[in-house]
Amino acid sequence: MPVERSALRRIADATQAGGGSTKGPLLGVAFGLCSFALRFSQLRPNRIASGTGVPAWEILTLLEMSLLLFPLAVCLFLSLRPGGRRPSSSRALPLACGISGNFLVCLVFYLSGKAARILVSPETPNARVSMGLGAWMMVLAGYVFVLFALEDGSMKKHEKALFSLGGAAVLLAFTAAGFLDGISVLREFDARSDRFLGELASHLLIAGTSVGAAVIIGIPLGVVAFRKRLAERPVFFAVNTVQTIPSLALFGLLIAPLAYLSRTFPLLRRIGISGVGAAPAFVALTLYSLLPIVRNTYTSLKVIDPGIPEAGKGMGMGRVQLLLRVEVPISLPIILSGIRVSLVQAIGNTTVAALIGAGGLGVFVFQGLGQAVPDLILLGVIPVICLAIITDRVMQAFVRLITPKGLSQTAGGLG
Amino acid sequence: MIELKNVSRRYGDVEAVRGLSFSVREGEVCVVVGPSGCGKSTALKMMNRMLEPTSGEVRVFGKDVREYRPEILRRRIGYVIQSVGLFPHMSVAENIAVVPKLLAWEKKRIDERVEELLHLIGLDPEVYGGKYPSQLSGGEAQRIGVARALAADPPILLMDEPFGAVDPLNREVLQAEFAAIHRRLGKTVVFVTHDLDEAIRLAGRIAVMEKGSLVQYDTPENVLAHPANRFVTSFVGSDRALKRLSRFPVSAVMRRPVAVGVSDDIAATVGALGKERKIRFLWVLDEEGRLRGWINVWRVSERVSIEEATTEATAGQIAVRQDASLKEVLSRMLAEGIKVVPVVDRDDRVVGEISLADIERITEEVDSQWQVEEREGRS
Repeated sequence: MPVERSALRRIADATQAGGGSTKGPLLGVAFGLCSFALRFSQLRPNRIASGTGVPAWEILTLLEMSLLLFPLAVCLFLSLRPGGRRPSSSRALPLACGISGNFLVCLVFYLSGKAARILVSPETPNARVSMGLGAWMMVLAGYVFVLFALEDGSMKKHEKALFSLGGAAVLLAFTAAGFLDGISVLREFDARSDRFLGELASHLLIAGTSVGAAVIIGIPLGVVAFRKRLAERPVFFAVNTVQTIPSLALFGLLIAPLAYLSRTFPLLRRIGISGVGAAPAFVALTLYSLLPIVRNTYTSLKVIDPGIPEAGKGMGMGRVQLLLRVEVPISLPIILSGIRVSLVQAIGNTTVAALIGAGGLGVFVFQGLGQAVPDLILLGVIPVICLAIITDRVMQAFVRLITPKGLSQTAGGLG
Repeated sequence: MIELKNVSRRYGDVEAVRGLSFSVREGEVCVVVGPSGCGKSTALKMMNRMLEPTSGEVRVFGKDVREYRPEILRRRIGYVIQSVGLFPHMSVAENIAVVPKLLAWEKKRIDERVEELLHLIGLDPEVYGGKYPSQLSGGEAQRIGVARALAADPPILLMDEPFGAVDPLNREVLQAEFAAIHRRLGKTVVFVTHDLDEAIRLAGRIAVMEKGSLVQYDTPENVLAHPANRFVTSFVGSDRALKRLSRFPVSAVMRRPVAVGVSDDIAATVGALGKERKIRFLWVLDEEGRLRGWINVWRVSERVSIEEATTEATAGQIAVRQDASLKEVLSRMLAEGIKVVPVVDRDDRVVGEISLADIERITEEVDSQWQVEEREGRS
């Protein structure tokens, strides 16, 4: 009893003394330990049947189990260590968490791949193995660790970059090397690898061209809304209204008029425009992408005090100099933030466009829904999520890069 | 330097400026004043071709402005506006460097000029050069607006209500600084304002405008003493005698202070004043010459020390600055109910004093001078 009490007090001390700064790692450790109580892998006799869980101790070797436990133990020890608040050692815990988190995620995927190879015997070629709740729980634990490390103030820039990209790079290498091939989602991929790349390309093409078109239409619209007082309300009424229509309904609404146009003008039909397919998807996605771009263009002009162009002109700047040296540097970061929002939104909405035959990764989602194959749904959904996150991050970094120093507060507030 | 010949400007049916003719001499501060909508800003903007006249001719540097390309003309004329218009994405140093860069100066020359200008407006280049406009106070931003307009050393400075958006306290400081800068650089300045006090304070000549026309163009003294018509009389207001006081700086009227140190011997001090005790109040100063308070020698007892006899008062309460005007002195006297005020320098050290009698004497002198002028004018 006395032993337990002192351990409890230490947990309480550790969580309170540092202003709760060890709560993150402790939560991660708790998730990690819980995961051992849940099924590590999921075995199904075929791709649509429901499956049975396989606990960790049945599928993992003792060494593998201890490899999973070791980072948890290190983080637990560092969080509870009485001298852990010393400034000299304050970096030990976040560093350990960053490394442990990445290590855990990579290891779980690797082990899941290995488990899949073991569980699918040559006699049962149709059997499917996917990651069980336990494996996902361990991934979550790893994510909590990484998050804690990234939020810690003492981490340097390159360490943060390593923690956020290192694990992802290793996972990509694992996938490329075929370590994870046994996992069911990747078996769906194997069966459709050609189709997958095609749909990925058309997904990017549809999202990219619609946002491109929205940029070409939206920036002038934003300028007009700002310059002409009469145009402001109708322009925003229109783009706001479009935004409130559910994407599926908008795709549906466009079928009739586009089909009519294509029937009436053979030329349109010849270049591939019809009621279903890429044309309505392109039109609808362009309309959706307008709001963030129009709104941010408008705002970017609104934040320029009228005295700024007047002063520039009064000092002897020409029209072009004023545009390039003053107006564009102030406006561009805000407009690009709008394009970022539009892109992320379009990548998501393009998934739905598969319903009207536009193609894209949504094809797998709707096939999977139709055939009740969860793995096929995931094959569509996971890349869409990754694409959206990558686009968001890359655009964010780009916006930060081109935001002039004196404006960093303003641009940050307008997402 | 600047000459307007029968200049008019229409906006649709409204004639904002009609038949305006006046000229500004080199090195002169011409303040254009009038109620809002009288066309004073329009008149100013036609001088650097921000606006084109509908008819008439504007001559700058001895040539019709239409002979210059607008950009080239504007780079030779400093331009300061009420909203300042600092570029938010550029540092203070980069903002000041805009016109020199347009003129393709060498980098070294630009850097030196920026530093020189920041010194001129009393801001430390080390501290302010790298700051961004969002980090500046309104007064600082306006100072930098002035520095930016002066960057390429233009012979002419056009200022459109430059201190209009600054709070009244800072406005007086900026006005005093502007007057000091003008004394040093001697630029030709056209300054538009609706604030007559500001005009009286800064102007070499005041141009009073009403409904697009010039109604009087004269020195501040003459505008106050002989308003040209009923409009100017009402614009100048019934307190013109008071306004006139703001033309006199304290430093021109103040006398040497009658003061004692806080640790001086009281018996010797009172003895030195003689039996008659013509002087009733003495300022009490600390070791550094800063104001501690005052003593009333008529009531003081020789048995106590000066320190004990002192009625405490700080410079902030009763004193005026050297660069203040007599108007402020009078206002301080009325507010505090005193007939003599001490004058202090920037470090609050007492450098002089002014009494109500001094102000009366000045007013009388000026009045009699005006009467003489008026008689001469009639004969």
